[in-house]
Amino acid sequence: MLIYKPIIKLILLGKPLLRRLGINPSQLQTILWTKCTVDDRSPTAVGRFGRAKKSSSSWSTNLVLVIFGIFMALTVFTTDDPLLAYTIFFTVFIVYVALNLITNFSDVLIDVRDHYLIMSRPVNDRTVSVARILHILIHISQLVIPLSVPALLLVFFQTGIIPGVVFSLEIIAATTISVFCVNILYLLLLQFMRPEKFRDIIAYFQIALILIVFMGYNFFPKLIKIVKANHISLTNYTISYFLPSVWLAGLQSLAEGFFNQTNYLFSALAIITPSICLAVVVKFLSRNYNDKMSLMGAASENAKPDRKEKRQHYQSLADKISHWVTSSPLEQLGFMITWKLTARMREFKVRVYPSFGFIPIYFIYFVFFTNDKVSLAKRWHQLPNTHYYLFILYILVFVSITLLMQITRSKQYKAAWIYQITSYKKPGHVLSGTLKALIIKFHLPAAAVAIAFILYVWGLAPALNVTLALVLMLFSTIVVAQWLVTKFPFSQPIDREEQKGRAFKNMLYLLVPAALGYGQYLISDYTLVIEALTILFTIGTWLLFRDYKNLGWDDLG
Amino acid sequence: MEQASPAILIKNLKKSYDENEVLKGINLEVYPGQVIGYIGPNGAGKSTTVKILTGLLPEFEGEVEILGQNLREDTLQIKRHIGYVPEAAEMYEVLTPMEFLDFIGKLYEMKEKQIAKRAERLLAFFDLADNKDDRMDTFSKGMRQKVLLISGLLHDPKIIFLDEPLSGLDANAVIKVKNIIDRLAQEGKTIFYCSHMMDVVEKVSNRILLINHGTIVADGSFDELRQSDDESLERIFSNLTGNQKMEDNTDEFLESFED
Repeated sequence: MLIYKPIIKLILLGKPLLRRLGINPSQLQTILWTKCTVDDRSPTAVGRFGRAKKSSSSWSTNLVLVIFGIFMALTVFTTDDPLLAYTIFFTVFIVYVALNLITNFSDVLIDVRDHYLIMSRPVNDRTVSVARILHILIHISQLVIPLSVPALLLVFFQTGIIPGVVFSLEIIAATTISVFCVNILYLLLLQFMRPEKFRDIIAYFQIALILIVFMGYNFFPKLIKIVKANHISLTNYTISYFLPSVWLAGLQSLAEGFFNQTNYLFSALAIITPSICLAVVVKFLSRNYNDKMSLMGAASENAKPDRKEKRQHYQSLADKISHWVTSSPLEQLGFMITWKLTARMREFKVRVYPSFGFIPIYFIYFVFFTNDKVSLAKRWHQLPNTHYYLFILYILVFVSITLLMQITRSKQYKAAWIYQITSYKKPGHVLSGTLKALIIKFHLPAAAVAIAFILYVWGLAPALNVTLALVLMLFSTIVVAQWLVTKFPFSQPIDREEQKGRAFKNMLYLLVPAALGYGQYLISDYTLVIEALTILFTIGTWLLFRDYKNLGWDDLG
Repeated sequence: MEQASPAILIKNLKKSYDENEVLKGINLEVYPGQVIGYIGPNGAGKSTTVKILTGLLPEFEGEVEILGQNLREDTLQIKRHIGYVPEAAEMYEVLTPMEFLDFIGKLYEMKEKQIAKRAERLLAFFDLADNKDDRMDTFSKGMRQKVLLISGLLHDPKIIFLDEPLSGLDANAVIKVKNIIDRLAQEGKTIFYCSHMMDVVEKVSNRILLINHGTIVADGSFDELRQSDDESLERIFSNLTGNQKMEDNTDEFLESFED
């Protein structure tokens, strides 16, 4: 992240201005320099962009961003109405940057170390706050640059130098607005929430981001087609007067020579707003924010053990189930620990929950958006005549594989030492307990929803096929578990090297359910074969499960 | 020892988190050259007091004057003269000790050369001369603690807050730190020493403050506090914090294993 050095120098050119704002330039420089260096050297999520530079994954990260940037750039030329086109662009841009800030940069926004290392020194609140915001801006620039370069090039070549320069300034303004909004959001959340709860909330934002980006990739091109077809005029909607993305679009339209009153108004707003945002942060929010941070640092230490799990009912349910489905204390232990930890480990939720969201998204996309010629209503009507229910069930298989890939991973993997120092013969019992917990807690509810939907659309007709698919789901779960889950739950570090190759591996794992699903589709009309296979795979599942439960220490390797 | 102007003056200091009152009206005068042993059970309000005094918790009730200045109004001025070594604080471990100390020194607006000179000497004093340019993520707990200690002393503060400063240190380093505390007190510095290690507190401090449930329940030198010559600080502590029946409790402990 060598980029930060010139940027910091550039910022310090404004020393007199900084001083007048009550900021200490040399302290600002020290803080920025140190924090950027720390990020640059940390292999953690905070410094991901920095570190990634040296590895191959940075290329893939940047490539993904550039591709997304190209998508966004294309919006600029979707309609003849520049106001509308740029509004779409800036809306997507601001939302994407803001969500990224919330999810990937929460560690930057709330670094507990700063509390002791910086706040106990003679540094004033404004300096700390401005340092924080500049740090975030420097950081986010690594996301913003690849994201906006395609659009920037396009605007430069299509409309000329002046609109191009204005556009690049608008990118900075849009980024500032995003940062501001996220700051406000954090303050609001901190106002009402305990720090631990706050981190949980951020985890849910992370899940939302993954889903939105995923949906964006799938639906964005379609959306543009719809907008194009319907000739929408923004100025007819009152709400557009309140959207920063519209103001920025207005300024850009003006720069491209569309002179009219609304564009003048929007341009004025676009120019004034970012400066107001910065002023508000510096003048009013800094003190408040730093106080909240102090409280957060303090609260995390004075934390009384008052975070009782209040869901007694829920737990006793898990307890009851565990006694029904497990056959040894060891297996019950595996069941309970998995049940509880999957509910409470934030990073597990972030990595697993989105994949459940993919099921309906994939389904809707493939069923309704793959062919433009047939209307949506007609497709819905034709649905009962198709075999798309197999599609739903096999995405479920895919999700269950994702689940298995994550269950052994944890940030707190070191806590698993406890399994190693205790004495018992069959660690397989712990693993089979884990597997049962996963199946009951995740597979079962997801399958229930899927079955309900299938019953609603298809009725009882595909019952045999659905049964086989479910049996195959269990079968493949156990096959994959024997292959992937030969370690205790949450006992392995989240390996970065491995993560890099994850996208590719995911594709491979995707092939398993795809092949199974296609195979079943081919034989789906042969009742006898379906029945025979159901029985065969049920027995197979049972046998494999028995093996799995009997895994000894040697098998765990 | 008591001089005209106290280094720390606290009047009726109160602090609550939500409805939980952590400090319930603390009154205190601390003079230069005093080494305060600040002790109390977990959750008694020790850390909260220190955080208020170091300016980390700006919201509190009551009046606090440090070096004759009002803590609320002159926070920055006061922070310049305070050194704080928090308990097992996290550091930017990817930095080297020299880089880290440079960062801290510059926050105090010290000159780069001065920082480097002092940092090198202090690191050498704590046997870290050979590691001064190694990243701290490879350091042991004790090595990190030494760097943290240095970061609290680098700017030659008048008041020093030490929170479990010996944690992770080896026996040699412990002796060094104890000697430093003595010398700093002789130089007229005020030291606020928080710890659960009663034997250390007993030895290093010349005035002991015992806080329990947000109020100070004992204040005096070790000799003043003990009722007989062979009474240890540990004993005083458990008497005052309501744990007299220690021996009886051990019976209860063993009974737990009877099915």
